[in-house]
Amino acid sequence: MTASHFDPIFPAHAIERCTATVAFSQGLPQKLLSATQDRHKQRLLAAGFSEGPKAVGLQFDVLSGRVIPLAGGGPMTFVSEDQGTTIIVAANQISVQTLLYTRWANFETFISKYVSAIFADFTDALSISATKLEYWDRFIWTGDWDDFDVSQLLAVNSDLISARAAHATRQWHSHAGWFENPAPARQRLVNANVDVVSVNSPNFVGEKPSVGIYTSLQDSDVRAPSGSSPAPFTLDEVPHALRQQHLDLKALLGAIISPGMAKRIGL
Amino acid sequence: MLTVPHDSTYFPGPQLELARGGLVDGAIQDSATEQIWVYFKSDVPRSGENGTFKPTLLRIGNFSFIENASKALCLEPSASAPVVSLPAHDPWLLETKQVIANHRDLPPGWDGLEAIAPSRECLDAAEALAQLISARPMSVRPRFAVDSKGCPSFASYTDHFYLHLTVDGPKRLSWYAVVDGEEFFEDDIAFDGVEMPQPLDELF
Repeated sequence: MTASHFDPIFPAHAIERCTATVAFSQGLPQKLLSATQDRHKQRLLAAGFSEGPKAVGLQFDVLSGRVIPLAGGGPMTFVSEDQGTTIIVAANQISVQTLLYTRWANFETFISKYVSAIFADFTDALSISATKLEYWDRFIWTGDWDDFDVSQLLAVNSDLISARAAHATRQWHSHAGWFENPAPARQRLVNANVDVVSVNSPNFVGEKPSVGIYTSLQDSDVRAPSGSSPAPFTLDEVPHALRQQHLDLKALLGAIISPGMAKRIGL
Repeated sequence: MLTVPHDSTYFPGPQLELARGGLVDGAIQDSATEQIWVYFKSDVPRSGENGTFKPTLLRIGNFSFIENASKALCLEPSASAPVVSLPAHDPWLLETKQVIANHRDLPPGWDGLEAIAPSRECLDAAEALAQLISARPMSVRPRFAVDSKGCPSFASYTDHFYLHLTVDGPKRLSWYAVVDGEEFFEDDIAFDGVEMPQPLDELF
């Protein structure tokens, strides 16, 4: 009997990355976007954030190596003092990505404290068209590929995992995605991907087998079949929508991993 | 001339790490070709021995190098078995989070005497505090413990810096500190889990 087993990448949870996104029906006009970005830049810099690289459309000249920005602004990024969380403000969406996830309540407070004001400015001009929450979880196998046993972590008979892929002995990938219609004029995109790959890290020597699980939910406004106008998300709905997605994603992950690991990571 | 679409997926620099060096400024994925263009703050790093550079991108999967210029690389999905590079995690933070995790779901009398079990909410607050403290110099980072009243605490003691920081409740902190001989005491200070209270921040 092997003593090898799976460990989550953190002692209390396996969340490698989490991203919350609010998307809008269209992009803010350039002048308004720049003014909004600049206004929040001052506020966030005062709160200890630093400005990340601003992305623009680029032209790349292969021969000369010159990189030429295209006209028009791109996303502006703000990085938290601990370098773990990034706010991305683009013309048609705002995202918050964290590599230092602790608890949902903290992530929710972070959004409320630093990002909600940007949501509010956007909704003065645009309608919210979608909310999206994504989790990247990772579990490291303590042994090697020779004794790798994915059934110690995954519910391999789950209909969320490709049976063919799950019986591969080494690296494999499984993707599951579908749409649901939880309410009129609402469409939900569900994704559950599993990657079995080698990982390396400065925290250990060499490479180790690992399982990465990506789960996401995107709730969008869609025009109802009757042709009636969709009811746009209101600003007040955003915290509730993200919280509900968080709860639903916990259930989704719970259907992919074993009950023992679910208990261990406090799912 | 290749034009990268304006609405390409953007990956900001701090989330990208290359297995073999290079200060990444950012990257853009061309949604049509799935190629990823990575931009550096300085010239593209090259390996010294054979002149080839095959970076592995964190969290995007495994990509093979196809173009090289002074400040950019173009990567395309690779058919080879992927290896994902994880970022370095702070050893102090990992150890502290492990000790906090060890104190979850304890029964009353867990210390062999009559200690009260720490609540999940207080341990969550301690976890958030540890996260914030991990950005501070190692010389002032305290050790985690739980007292007999079930209150998580952090304690640090050096010649110039003494701190005893207690999580009194899910969102309440108190502390006593001596910094360079000067005493500081605060009680029942609000803590929201994402920002260190200012007086505590100033102690560090």
